[in-house]
Amino acid sequence: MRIAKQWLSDWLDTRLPFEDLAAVLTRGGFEVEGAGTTGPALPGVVVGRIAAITAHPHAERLRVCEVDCGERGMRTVVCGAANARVGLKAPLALPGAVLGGRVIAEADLRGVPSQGMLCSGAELGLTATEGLWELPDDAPPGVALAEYFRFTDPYLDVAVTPNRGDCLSVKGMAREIAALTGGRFRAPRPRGLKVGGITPRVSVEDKSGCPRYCARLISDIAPGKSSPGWLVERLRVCGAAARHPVVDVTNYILFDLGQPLHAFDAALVRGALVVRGARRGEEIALLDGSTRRLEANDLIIADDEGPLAIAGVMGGMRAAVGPATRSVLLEAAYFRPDTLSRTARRLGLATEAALRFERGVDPELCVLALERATALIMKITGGGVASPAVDHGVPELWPRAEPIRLRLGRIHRLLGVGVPRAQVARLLKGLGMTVTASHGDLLVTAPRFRFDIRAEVDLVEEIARLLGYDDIPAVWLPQAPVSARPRALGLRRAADLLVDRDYHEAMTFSLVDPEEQARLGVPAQTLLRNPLAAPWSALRASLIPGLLTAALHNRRRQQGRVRLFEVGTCFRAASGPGGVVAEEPRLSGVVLGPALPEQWGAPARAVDFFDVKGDVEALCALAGQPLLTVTPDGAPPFLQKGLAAALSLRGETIGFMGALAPAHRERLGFEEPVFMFEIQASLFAEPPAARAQEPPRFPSVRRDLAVVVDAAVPAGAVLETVRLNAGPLLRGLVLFDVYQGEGLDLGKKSLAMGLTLQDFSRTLTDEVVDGLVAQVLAALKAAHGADLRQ
Amino acid sequence: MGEPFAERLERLAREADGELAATSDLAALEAWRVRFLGKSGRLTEELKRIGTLGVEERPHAGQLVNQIKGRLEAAQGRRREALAARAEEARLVAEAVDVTLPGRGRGLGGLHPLTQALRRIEDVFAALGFDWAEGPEVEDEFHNFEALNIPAHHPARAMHDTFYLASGGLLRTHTSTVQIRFMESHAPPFRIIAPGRVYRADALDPTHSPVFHQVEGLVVAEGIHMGHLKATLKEFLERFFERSLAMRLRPSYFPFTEPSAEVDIGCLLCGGTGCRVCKGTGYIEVLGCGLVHPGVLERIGIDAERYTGFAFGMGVERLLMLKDGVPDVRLFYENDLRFLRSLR
Repeated sequence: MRIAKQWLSDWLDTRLPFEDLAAVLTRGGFEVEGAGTTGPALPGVVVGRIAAITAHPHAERLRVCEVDCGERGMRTVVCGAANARVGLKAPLALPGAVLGGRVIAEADLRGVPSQGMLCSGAELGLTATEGLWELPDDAPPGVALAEYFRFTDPYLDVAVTPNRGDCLSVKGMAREIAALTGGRFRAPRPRGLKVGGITPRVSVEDKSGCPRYCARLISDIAPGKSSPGWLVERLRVCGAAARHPVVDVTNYILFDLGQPLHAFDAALVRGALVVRGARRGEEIALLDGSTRRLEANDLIIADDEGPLAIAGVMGGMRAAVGPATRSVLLEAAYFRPDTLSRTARRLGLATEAALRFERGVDPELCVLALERATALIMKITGGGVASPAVDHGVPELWPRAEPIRLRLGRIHRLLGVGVPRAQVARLLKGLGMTVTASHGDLLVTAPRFRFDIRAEVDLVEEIARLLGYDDIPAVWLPQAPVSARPRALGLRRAADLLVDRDYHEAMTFSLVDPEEQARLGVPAQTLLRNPLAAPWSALRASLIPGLLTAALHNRRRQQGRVRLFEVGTCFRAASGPGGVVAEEPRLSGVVLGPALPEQWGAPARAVDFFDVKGDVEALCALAGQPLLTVTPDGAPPFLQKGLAAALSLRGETIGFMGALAPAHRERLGFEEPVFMFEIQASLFAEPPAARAQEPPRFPSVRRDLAVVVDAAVPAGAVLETVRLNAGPLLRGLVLFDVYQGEGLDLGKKSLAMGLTLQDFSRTLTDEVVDGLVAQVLAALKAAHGADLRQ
Repeated sequence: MGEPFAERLERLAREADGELAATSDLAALEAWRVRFLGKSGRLTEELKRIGTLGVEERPHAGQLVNQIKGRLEAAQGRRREALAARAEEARLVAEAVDVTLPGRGRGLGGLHPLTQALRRIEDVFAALGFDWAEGPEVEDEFHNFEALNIPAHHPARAMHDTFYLASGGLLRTHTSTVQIRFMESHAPPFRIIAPGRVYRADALDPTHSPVFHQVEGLVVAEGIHMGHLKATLKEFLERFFERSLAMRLRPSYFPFTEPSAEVDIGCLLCGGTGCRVCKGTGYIEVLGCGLVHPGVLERIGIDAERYTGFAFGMGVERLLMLKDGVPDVRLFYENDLRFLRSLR
């Protein structure tokens, strides 16, 4: 809501300087989002009236206008605007005026001297219209434009929260400010209106959707009139353009009183007006140029031919008021907020009228609004006949303000500070509430327009708001009743580990491109019904696509070495309609470029599978999971065959790692190998409970074995055989060399392993150790055809 | 008999001195010792020769030989020390490095700025006795709206541009959903925070992101009032921003709290005199809060006459943008390493 000082003073009598109003509103719960003056001062720009026009002797497109500037005399101005005509009033910038940084000077325009410039709204920075700005009829020639329009009026832009529909008008804000400051609100007094002629025929079929409908016919409206400057300017302040006096008045009443009105061209209405639910499939061409299909239960205003308007939302084209309009049916109604809101939201029509009806408009306002609008239309158009008003109202269906019991003790309990009874009563009465005593409590009835006051706690809030939140003392919470520890310590440790291993943490959108996920082989997608854009129309099934995008972003910006990880929720699509989308936290990393930062002391080397595997093993060790197994089978299809592995734990897959397949690498634009891993983050959620172990008192024995096997035998299988056959005395097993080449048969490789054996209760004898080694060798021979390397 | 004994010894001693000075390492020194002082060294030979001298000459000759032997042994000792020191020196020179060369090994990564902020928030509230809770990101209408006093056609729904899933359900628009989820399974008293991702169908621009993070707070117990809310938030904000702050509560509106308030702090840039960041007001909005609406408690089956509580919600991106001067929310999701390193 934009609140301008002059306009506010129509309704409010206060000694509060306008400069102090922002602070009062802020304390009262109305956020002030901006401030300014309604228009520029525009020195040197005056109202001009074109008195005569002659053709320019040397230019076909230019004309020479004699402009009447009132007391300032006549000026000759060369003008190229198409709408220049005798009698038109337009802004005239006199020599010396500054428009958009340009000084207007007397100039010779192709042989004719021009003593100023006739201006468009755009040239003044005020309206976007092309051609000369056609000023209202009542603009006096020679008067400064800013003075005529009161451009230097200060204003505030005030945010009104959805619970305060009663403040979506200048009148409503004035009433609220009066309560907040103790100023005097000038309540409107209805004035008698002379009526005559035929009362229009109106029926209300859906009384629950429309508990009050008032209307009247205004006939014999004089054509060709324009709204006066003050009205045009007030509409402009509210962001509305002047169109036709009738439309301008309905818009003005909406901003001034908060009651949305609608006017139909009575000559275009066939038969009687009826307020009814739409029939499924009915269509309406709206004033915004769109055609909408209606659903049953959409409330409409219709005539014998069909829909004329969507009730309280937007009017239709068929009976729209225009230049030819001579009589109008003027509507002021109360529509039920929920019905109207459903329609407005479904059709995406957030109009000024719908905004107010959704939040609640006082049904009692209809008559006042209708009377004021009628009077104003007749005044501006200089005549017309107003019919008696139709008033179909069912007061039992109007929102009712029930008395609310307010306990002083409850105020104390919620605010932490007691407020004396007399002060409570005074504060609430200031808001127009009636307050009576009842068994030690107060009985409070809110005015009907306060749709937000429904329960005791709403009254407590009003008291807090009027007292000022600043006056509520801060009090420490009592000692915590619970022992608290920060979230997900295990995950924190995992993230810290990767940071220490030279990874940067990334955060990517959970909204991803379903096509990219499909290309990476995600079988079922979780799609949004109303995405902002196609690349954000699915929920991520993996962190990998987001990390690849982030890696690519960096790669394209001269970052040759990228190591990123992310911890985040991934989504597994519901199995069918109504199914549940499963959420699973994952920990993933993407790595490319040199294994180490560029340095002098270590040879430069590209990162490889085993660098990343080392990181994964470190993570798993953190989770207390030494039983991690890595197998070449079961890895996702976007990984390169032979450089891919599934990670599993006790037979259950917990993730994967490997290199991005070359086809995807090329498609995405990576120039070098990209390695990645993804693990279920639930592994780290609870760190394993630790158990202390005493250092063994007896020495360990180390035996190194080098065995020769077929090159195709996985090292993991060989190690597993050693583990299974060395028995419980095996404390450590390390693979320290892999060799192929000279000295070995083609197709063979040598694996060198160090076994650490130890008995915690005695010193091991050579006999026992030799026995174990022989046992291991025999098993290796049997399982893998392994021979001891000679 | 040729040259007298004493003179010969003197010559031998001079010769030995000369050769000793020429030794360049410990091996040469040892060879010198063997040559002059060894079992068949030249001085030992001279000693053996004493027997051939006249009886009156012998004591003097023996004295002379021992004197020279002692002198040479002492010189050898000094020479040994000098050579050892020289050898040590040479080894140090050989092993010396250019200590100004950079160190070797891998670098150090960094946590995402939002993770750092979330940890900070979680740690402050843990210290204030708040446990943590979490809830799903895919939600239903009940937990995101209805349970929070936002029925289907409530105007407040317009404040939440909601993403809906094709398969049904929606992406939560706030972490207030966790209030409901937690209260469904826990009886008061409790105090919790709930950090998490939330979603709004807002176009991505310098101050809006369709995906962002919130932290929700909820305290429900007997005797909780507005004053507790003020003290808790002030303590949190001062710990988060690491400075003492002016804080004010402004009345506002959220359907699930009553009374509701927006919390402003004194502008971090200008300190309250008015600037571009605070749009001249001296204050910046940092979070929303209020007392839990009795309707919310009652719908879940908590006695709103006995228990009262407060709740608050904050946008993590916004707090961090204010704290660290991050000019554009998109930087958080672009993951440019140069940005990430700057807030490591």
